[in-house]
Amino acid sequence: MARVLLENLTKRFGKLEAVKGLDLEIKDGEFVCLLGPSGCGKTTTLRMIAGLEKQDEGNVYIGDKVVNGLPPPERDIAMVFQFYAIYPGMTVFDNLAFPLKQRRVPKPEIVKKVKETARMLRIDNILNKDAMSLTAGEKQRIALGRAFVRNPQVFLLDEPLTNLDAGLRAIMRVELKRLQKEIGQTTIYVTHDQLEGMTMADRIAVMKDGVLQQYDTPDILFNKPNNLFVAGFVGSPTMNLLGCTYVEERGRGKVIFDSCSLDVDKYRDVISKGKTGNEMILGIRPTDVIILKEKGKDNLIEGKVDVVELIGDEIIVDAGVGEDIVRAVAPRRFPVKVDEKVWLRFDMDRVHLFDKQTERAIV
Amino acid sequence: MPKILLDGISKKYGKALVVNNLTLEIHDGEFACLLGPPGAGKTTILRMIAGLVSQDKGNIYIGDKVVNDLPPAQRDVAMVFQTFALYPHLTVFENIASPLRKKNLSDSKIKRKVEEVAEVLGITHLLQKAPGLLSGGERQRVAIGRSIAKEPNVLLLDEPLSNLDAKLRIHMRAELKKLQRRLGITTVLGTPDELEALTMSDRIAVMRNGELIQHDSTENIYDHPKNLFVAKFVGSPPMNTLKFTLEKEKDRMLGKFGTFDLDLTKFQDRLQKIESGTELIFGIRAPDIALQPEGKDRQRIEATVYTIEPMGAETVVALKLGDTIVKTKVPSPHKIDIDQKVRLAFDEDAVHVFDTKTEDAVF
Repeated sequence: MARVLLENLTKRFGKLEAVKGLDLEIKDGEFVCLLGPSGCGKTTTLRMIAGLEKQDEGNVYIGDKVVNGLPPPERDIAMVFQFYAIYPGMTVFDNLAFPLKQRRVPKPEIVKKVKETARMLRIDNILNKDAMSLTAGEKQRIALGRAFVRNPQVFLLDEPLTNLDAGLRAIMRVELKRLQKEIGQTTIYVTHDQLEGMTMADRIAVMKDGVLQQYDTPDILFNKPNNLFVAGFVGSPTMNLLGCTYVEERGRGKVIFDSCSLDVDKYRDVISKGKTGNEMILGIRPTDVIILKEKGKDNLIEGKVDVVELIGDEIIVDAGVGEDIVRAVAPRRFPVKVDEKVWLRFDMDRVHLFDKQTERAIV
Repeated sequence: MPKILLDGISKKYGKALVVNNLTLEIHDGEFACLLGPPGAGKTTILRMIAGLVSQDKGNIYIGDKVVNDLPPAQRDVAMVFQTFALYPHLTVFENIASPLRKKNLSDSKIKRKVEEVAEVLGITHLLQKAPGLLSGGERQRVAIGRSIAKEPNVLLLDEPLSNLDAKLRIHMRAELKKLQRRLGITTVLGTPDELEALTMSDRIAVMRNGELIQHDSTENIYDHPKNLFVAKFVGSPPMNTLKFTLEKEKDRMLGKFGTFDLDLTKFQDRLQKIESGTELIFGIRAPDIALQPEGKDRQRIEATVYTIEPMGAETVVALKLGDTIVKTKVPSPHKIDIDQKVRLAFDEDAVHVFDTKTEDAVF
């Protein structure tokens, strides 16, 4: 077990700067997720930690050691890829035992370790089966098991669940997280799937175009995104993002969009400090939009129902407001029909405002 | 008269019976869905409706005509595939126009049609571009445009969103649904994704191994699954299931779950025909389990928190209840910790019971 520290890590491929001056500390035993769309530099970062890619600038520490010059086998890490490599023609047992045999671990110890690992991963009942005959989920567990069995200092996982179907992915998410907590191994997990990041990680590093956008707990990322990109990337259904203009009218701060006006006076001080202009983006999560069938008192926005989607115990309602669509989540039994007129109330304690120029969060 | 009637159709590939004696009605203007895991027969059914493969047995009606012997071109059906093939050397305009050119329409008519379709799909600004320059979602819209330009009687969609990333899929879901409603075109969607089925369709036909399991409204599929397969396949997280033994006493009924008992007297009418001592399966969805820090009720069930998955506005909590993992949902923020002991209560109106052998729903 060890902490991992990345210091000003930079990688160029020709003219393209894939990772730009990345500073990141992963604590001992922590489960950290590198999250971002394809091309954000997350896999390159992981490969630099593994030693499969050499950085152009900066340092990688594992434990207290700078490992810049060390080849992958000497870094004491284990990496699991999206495409699980299973040795064909070998039993599950032999697959798990392989890395230990390579290290000339004595036989009784191999048997003990393989059995322990298999029990943890719930594959102890299939140890004697041909690995290739198994389901995708079992194969992925074998690939994980092969990494676990060596008891390395750090686990590096590159989208390990991508090839599984949705049901199995949900199960493996839970198992992987539980397993990581049980063995307490420092784990760095790369994914483009925000739900995987949110559900499994202690902290998430959101990346875009090689630049770290925010490094925080899932809770903070969801509730206090630093900028427009993080706000739009984290959370499903996606945060509503509406172009608006900030004005002060009769001494009160307001934002105007689509002929609607919302009072944001309680944020007036923060707004005047944070803004570079009056053009802003208003952000509100669909779960913070309340739909009403009748017009009430304040801060109500008129909309027309565009789409209703059943998602189990809740519905997603898209309401047309002027040129925009505002998405809201409502209880399953909320009686709402397409083309019907509704009123929306934004939970003003949970509204976000982003500067249109800098895209940074103001509120 | 239904718009599409599949009347006792079967299809074999070699020895494999991929569709077994399927009878299914699809209404005029309906958004119908064939839902099932790989191998359910969804794609084969769509291909039989399109006329790309012929059934071994049974009749296919479109409108009031038997189309068994009609070639695809004369069935007035359009099909959109998972991998959408566009002509790379033609502009978006020409891609959409290509099926119209085959119909010998005048240039001005074609232009008007293409522009209409592009308008509906919101791709007017892309008409002069080459497909290679478009994003996945844009390309998919062009593919759909090409299939609806000739105003087919029926639109068949074979996993049209599978190749898009999660965000885009959610967006396209709503778009497709809106489009279908606007055009009023009878649509059959084949998908393995239960959420796509729930959100988009009017009725769902759940399939497994070539057999129709249940054909019903989306609400009924979710609320009243006919058997364990439908119950587990539709809804996320999947319905929790627990084995129990029914014990009938003089004036009450008990469910013996091993680590706890549940009073089932409330359901005695529906359990009347079942003998005491029978093993059954209890089903309850995640949102229908409540966590209670203090157990004041007599039906107190204790469990240990296994994992916590934050999903933003809500959190999925996996609980270890005896040997089984059950999942529940709580609003975020919450004060639950891993390995904490909790008490839980089931919403009695949301309980399902299944027969262990047949897996059919008792209620």
